[in-house]
Amino acid sequence: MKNTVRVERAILDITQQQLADAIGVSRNTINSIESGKYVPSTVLALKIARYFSKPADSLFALEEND
Amino acid sequence: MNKKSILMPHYGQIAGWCLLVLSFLIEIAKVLFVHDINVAWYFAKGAHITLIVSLFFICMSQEKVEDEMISGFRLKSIGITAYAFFVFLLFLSILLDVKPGPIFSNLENTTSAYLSEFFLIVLPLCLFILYYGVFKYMLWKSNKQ
Repeated sequence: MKNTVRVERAILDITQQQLADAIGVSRNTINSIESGKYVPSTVLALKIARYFSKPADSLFALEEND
Repeated sequence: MNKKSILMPHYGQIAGWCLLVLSFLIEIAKVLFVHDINVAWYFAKGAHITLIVSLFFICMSQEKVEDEMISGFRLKSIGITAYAFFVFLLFLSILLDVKPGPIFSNLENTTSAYLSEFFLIVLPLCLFILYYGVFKYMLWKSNKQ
């Protein structure tokens, strides 16, 4: 699954740590999500989407092999 | 979403590390100062129980930020530990010539005494150490990336 979390974070000009603190996870988790190594749960994906005030499916999208 | 965790709070880890140091101190005190074998036995038992409890506290306490990815690492570590122990115990049961237990203790070459010592002392330690080692390795690898 690909995502645009890194792009959205760059638009808001916030660090991974700030985003992690805001949604209550570790910075490591945000880094893993951004680099596509970890696929977040629905709850976490919705929390990230709520933080950026965007629908979840605009941040996360399925890839062909998913 | 409200999820209850079976893990202890993060300060359980600090308590665990303190107990680990205490168990080593007891062991050192036993070696240096205790010469009576009966007293030494109590020291050894104390050190062993403290060691097991300390490892339990270290392994079963939350990280500073315990999120779903870390929970996933814990689950994987438990899986790997269970898998490793299954294979290990399977080989052990095949390779060891296990004789019947205390009921047949009049038989020669019973292995039950050695096995009980092994199962009660060594295996729990290996279980905790393997689980914690795998878990910390996963965290370290994830942090490194």
